[in-house]
Amino acid sequence: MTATVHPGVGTRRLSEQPGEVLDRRAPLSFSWDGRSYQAYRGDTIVSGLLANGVSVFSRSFKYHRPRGVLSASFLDPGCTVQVGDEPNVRGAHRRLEPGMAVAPQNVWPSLRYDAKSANQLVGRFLGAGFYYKTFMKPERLWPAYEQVLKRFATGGRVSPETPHGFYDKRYAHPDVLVAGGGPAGMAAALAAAEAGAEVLLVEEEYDLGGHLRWGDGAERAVLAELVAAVAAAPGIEVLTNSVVTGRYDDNWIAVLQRRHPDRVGGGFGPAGSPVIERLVKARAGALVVAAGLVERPYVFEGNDRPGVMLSSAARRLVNLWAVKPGERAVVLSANAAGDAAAADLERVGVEVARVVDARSGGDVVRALGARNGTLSGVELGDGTKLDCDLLVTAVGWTAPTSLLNMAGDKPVYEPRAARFLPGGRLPGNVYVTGGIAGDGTLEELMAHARAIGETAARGGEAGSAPALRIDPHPALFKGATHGMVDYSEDVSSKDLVAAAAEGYDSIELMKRYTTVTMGPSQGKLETVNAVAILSEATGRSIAETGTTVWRPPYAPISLGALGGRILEPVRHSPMQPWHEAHGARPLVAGQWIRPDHYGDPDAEVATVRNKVGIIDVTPLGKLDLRGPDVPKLLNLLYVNKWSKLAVGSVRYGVMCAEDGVVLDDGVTGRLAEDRWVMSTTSSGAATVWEWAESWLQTEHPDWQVHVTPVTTAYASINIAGPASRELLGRLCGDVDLSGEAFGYMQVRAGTIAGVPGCWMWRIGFTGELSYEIHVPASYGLHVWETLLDSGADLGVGAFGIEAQRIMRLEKGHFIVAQDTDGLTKALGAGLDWLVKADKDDFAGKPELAWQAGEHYQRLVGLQPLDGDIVPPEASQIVAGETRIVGRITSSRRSPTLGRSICLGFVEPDLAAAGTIVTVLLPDRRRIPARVMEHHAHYDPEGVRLRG
Amino acid sequence: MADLAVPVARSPIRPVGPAAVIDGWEHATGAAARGGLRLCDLSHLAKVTVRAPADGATAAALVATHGKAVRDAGARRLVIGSGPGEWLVLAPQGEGPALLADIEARVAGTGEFVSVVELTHGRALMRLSGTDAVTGVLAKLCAVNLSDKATPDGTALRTSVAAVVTDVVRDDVDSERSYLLHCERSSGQYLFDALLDAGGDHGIEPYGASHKDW
Repeated sequence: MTATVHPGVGTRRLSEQPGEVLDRRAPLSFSWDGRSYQAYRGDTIVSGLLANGVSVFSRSFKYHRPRGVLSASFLDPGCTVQVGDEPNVRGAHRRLEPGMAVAPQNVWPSLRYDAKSANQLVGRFLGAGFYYKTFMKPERLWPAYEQVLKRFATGGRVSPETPHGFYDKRYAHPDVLVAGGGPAGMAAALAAAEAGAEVLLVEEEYDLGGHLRWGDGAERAVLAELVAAVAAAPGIEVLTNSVVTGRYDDNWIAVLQRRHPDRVGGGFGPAGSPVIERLVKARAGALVVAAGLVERPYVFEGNDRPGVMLSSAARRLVNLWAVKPGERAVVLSANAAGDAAAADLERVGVEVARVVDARSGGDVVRALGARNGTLSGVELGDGTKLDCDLLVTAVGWTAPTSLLNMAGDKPVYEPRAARFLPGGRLPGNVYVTGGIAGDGTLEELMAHARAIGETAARGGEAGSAPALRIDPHPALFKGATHGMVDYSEDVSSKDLVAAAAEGYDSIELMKRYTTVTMGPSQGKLETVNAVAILSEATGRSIAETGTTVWRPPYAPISLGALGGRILEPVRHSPMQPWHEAHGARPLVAGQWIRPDHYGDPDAEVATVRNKVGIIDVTPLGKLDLRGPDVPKLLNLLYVNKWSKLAVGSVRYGVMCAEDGVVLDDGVTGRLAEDRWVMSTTSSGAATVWEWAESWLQTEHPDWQVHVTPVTTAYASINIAGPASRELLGRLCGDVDLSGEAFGYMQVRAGTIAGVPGCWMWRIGFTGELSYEIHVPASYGLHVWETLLDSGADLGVGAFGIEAQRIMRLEKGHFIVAQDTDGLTKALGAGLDWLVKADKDDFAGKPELAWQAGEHYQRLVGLQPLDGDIVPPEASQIVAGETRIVGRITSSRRSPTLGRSICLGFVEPDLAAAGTIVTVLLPDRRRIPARVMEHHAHYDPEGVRLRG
Repeated sequence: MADLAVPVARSPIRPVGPAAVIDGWEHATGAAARGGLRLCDLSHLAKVTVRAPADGATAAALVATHGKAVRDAGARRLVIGSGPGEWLVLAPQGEGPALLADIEARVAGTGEFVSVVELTHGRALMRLSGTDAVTGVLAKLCAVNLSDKATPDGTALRTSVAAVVTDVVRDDVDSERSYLLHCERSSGQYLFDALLDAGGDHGIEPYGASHKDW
């Protein structure tokens, strides 16, 4: 058969191959380095380019040598490219899409003429440790070195304008997770499913099948049977283009699913966009590792020239993508895979100049290069030189034991097979089968896999399956000349030998010194060669030399995948539809979205001060307290006394943590003999609930108290202003609202706007006559709208958080965590009147007793002498040039008083009313401010409040 | 001026499509979804929480143990053992006061310290139904093993769904996989939206609850 050139789809494209993955009915265009090419759906970036005669895809990391295909798989170190805005794409894995813009990365000015390839000329100075040795001194030049070296760093470009992609996450709980979808993995999955297990079968490539996919007709027939059986088996979920990246304790297994196709949009991601990556967090009953084997490169001079590739790469290119990898080939074969590659090449019309049989001593000494760096011929062990543009090597395999290492195993070197094998120190829920475990015919390997799959399904002993045999294989790592070991990092065997001579003669030290195995392929191609070369250099055996440790992740994971589906809960009050319809500017307060204002907070203040306003205060924490021991709990949590609070009354209280620091404040009311409601700050609702439960469950389990959070069971509305009594009275017929019957700091239950089961407190934060009403939340919007309708003639208006904050500052009420911080103890916050040291005990009492004798800053009301200046919050109060003696905690311009007002902390000797302090503004100006007699700037006696 | 005599109760979840007031509650009036994966709002159901000793006479009277959900009162009610010594009882719309009184009567003679609190208006409740309810939706939002083996029909658990504390109850309807999801009211719309988003690639359909959903 000869190569057939299809117009428009490449000069090296073969006629249809029986196992190909191309859709010949779907040609597509893409660009490479600015030029347009044609390929088929199913092509990878690299197969599409090779089909068009492009064989150089990158420049190497250090020496900028041209690089082509080595493994034609995800691991291929020379095929990393830029796709649009996405850097570091594995070009031998990623499939082409119509219109894809692909470019080489880390080249300057171009892939063809890379100026940095001059590094090759000085290569002997760029050996191991070059950077450490060269850029050490003088230290003052480190920043300059960094700027220069950055230009030489590998990797693609990340555009700051790249739109956010959508990444997802999911959980899975399979009974059996099979890592690897080759024949062994599929057989294990089928047997496990037949035994009743739910199975997750994970395959890194786009299709199941492993090496059967690029095998002969008989192998493809087995493949078809297996794939059909898997598809038909109930209980097997297949994830392709997915990789198990890590195994953690108790089989907590991370699976990265790439390019999940079926995203169709929704509220959290761009509609219609695909999921770029999805992290599957699996907790598996059993893990079956069927990772197969990775073909190992051979080390000799010129082994990284484009045109030198592994036998598996040649077979994949021919059989999967119908690409002719060269015109004239030499094949170095030490095993059946090499022989099969030679046969494949001959079959598709490649002239096989020589099959060099390594089993009978044949060897390749060096790969000879053309002027452009690509392969032009080879020199064999017997001195023969042959012209060729393709050199295929098949010198053995590396067992990708990463998952076994992560499970605690230490692989053991088997000299007879010239590869590492599982060490047998696996936990009982991790099994291993297929080529990674041993050798055999396809039937033998699948029989082993079936036995392992069935055993894994029932949680049996792995040893109960008969062991696979180990076939002999020649030990071929490095030939007679030095060559590249780590293609990603440009580390040669010469570098390793030099490092060993310098004393870096343990594999872990050598790795860190030379960076061998530290590049993007992470040792999967190069570790065993590095170990073998070190072993030769030190005279130790490979077993004695050991390996580096393989840690998660097995394959790269993007930060997006680790972030996954973004879940940021938000909370809304029942009145949210009204707020949205009336132009409320949203304020993000923790998870709550609240109305900051409706356009003009100063006008909202005026409405409350002069007429009546309503504010949505639903987020205020509310705890339903029941039981005979509630007073004990209140006495413990609050600094003040609670034993004698009458039914129908409410009281203000402050809570401190054990260290005396203010934790929260609010009012608690007694609705009935055994029923109380505690209110907390909006941000403190969850904290106070946990705080109360913590005391009850750990210190006083004998107390009869039940705490039920009812924060959002009630919509909470504060009706504030001189006309608030009139307004509420129009909607509430069963409670006497007169000042005599329902006084300040009282609570009543009643019906509001036809809704029974409401309660109302006569309290307020604004300083005006006000009623805080709590209505069953489903009726919140009804009551809110009814208040606004009913009070239209009173001039009622809604007000937001900003207006409330202005009014509370006018009244001098502090806000926990605004005016206090993690160091503010109760006495400093001006709460000495509230702290009852004569109580038996309360949380924080010892610390507060101690604080009473200490030097502490005081919270005071402050007014800048120039009322037009509003010092920003957190401005410092200073004495002299630099001594900090306090800070501004809250500041606003008061529309009521027409001037700036503040709360702040000052040293005790500055706390007396009338003291003038100096406030340092961010623009370095220093302004005088007066300490006021009260925290309150407006109505300090509270006449309006009690009206 | 609004009619004070006719208060309207509303779910924390916006109605899907056109809505009307039915027996005092605003409901979506569109047809029930028929697809293989469906989500509806059941926040109008009556809800009462009970706190009592985990293993006493009240517990025996309520039948459901921690982690289980049991139908009661001719299947009109569902008693959920939502925590140690904590139950949630669900009943049809409007039966909150009756349910409260009934449970109070039932536990009155036990002599135990018991709290019964109506939370009809304090919680959001939704039902997710369909074969793909786990693989298509919940597996993206909840780390718990929701397989038939681990959490069969009648299982109740409190966990995190879309980062919201949620009581999840496996409550199959006519042998179809179905979950009740119950969370604090203010997060209801968020949770509903998060479920719809997660189920988007499996064609999830939101709809207003029909009679059959309870």
